[in-house]
Amino acid sequence: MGFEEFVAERLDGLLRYATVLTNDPHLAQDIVQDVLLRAQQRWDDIAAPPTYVRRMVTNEYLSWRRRAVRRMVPSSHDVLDALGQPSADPATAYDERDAMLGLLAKLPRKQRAAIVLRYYEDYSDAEIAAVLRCGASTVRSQISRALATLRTAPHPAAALTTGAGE
Amino acid sequence: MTRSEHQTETLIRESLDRLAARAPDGRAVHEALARAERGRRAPARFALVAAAVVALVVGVFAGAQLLTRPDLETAAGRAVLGYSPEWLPGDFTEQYREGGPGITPQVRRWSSGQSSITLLTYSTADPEWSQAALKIASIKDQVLVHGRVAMVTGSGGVAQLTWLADDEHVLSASIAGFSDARAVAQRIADAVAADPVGVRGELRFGPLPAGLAERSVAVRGTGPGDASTELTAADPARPSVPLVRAAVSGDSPGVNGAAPVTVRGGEGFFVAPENGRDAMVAVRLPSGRWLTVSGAQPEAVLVAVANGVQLDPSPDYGWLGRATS
Repeated sequence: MGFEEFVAERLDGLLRYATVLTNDPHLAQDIVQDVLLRAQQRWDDIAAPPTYVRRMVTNEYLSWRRRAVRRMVPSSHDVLDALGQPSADPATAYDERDAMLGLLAKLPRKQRAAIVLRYYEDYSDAEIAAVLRCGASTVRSQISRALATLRTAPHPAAALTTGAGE
Repeated sequence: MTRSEHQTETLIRESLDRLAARAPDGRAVHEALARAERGRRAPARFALVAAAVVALVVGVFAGAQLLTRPDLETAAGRAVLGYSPEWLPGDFTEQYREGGPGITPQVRRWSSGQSSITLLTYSTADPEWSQAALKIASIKDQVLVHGRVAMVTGSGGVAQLTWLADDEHVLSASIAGFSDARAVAQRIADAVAADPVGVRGELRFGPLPAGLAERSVAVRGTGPGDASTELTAADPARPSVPLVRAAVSGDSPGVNGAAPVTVRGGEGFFVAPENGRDAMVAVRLPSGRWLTVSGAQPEAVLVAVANGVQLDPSPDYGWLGRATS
């Protein structure tokens, strides 16, 4: 697959993955753009582009300290509000998701990456381990700890509106 | 109080899907990659153009046209619309977006009751709009938009304000159902900025009949609950005339009395052309939604197009029914 064909087919998916990973659409765009520009220069040497590029995006997220110095990474609500006006929504399921996004935003980066790879990408423990470059037992441990935190997300009755600032 | 593991996992998936819908469209990345690619090709381009100068003046023109063409072009299944109004009257929600590759017009529409606001973008490469600057200059009823001369047409509750955003894009704000339509059109036009949005529907064309190319994708609905996507394909020589349409929606297309035909490996229907209506094939997808393909084409061609359609499991319908100014 050529680079242009890869970009045409995969760019939207990469941006979605990076947005879910970083919790910041702007940072996601920065990361995906940087990764693709680097991949473009040595495309012919990359054996499995989809896996390779996704791993590069994940690595960029896990090592974004340098970027964080340059720019503040906004919280989930701030990011979402910047993209659309806050609006009340009577659907409690919507509020639950809001609360869950708040908890996801507070997870340590590696736990968040493991959760995203498991529940957004549907990766197996072994696949997650390969991306995060750790053992499968470490992956299970990271996910277990993350789930323990995420189970505390408020139940429907606890939240009534959406889009409000924290 | 904590929830069960299953409840938590379900909520995580739903939350992540919602966050994914906030991803930016790929336009900025496409442009950055294209710029990088152009930078790498520059020496080769120079040599090619120089050789063409020696060979033939006409050749230079054709070569330059080829070389200055954008390196990457958005496919119709994932159109990008280049402009957004930063202000709209209250209570208006966006209910329609349409765009496509090349010079396909871009359309965004907001509605509130019987009132509507439509923002259209045309390319000056489109023969119908190539003389827009001259036309605007020749009309007496002129106003200024972003310092450029614009023309106003319409009367009563309807107004259309047309201006050139730059040398390549003609914009038109069309307003209906307002007592002060001209003033509203002016205020909206003043608030339009080059702020792109994406159109990601739930299907894309696979193989198309010879001589046809993807033309447009349109997403419509009063909200995500009644959203639908329609693609069109046309002869590139006559891009304004759609010849094949493919759509997915929740509404039954009406197949009573239709002939059974196998579509996508399942039970589908063929509705013969009648009273000026094109022939159509329809099939109910496993999701319960309906896929239809229509056009003045033989049944076998419509079935082949339907069989080739690719379904997108993650359409972006989140903007439907929202105030997206």
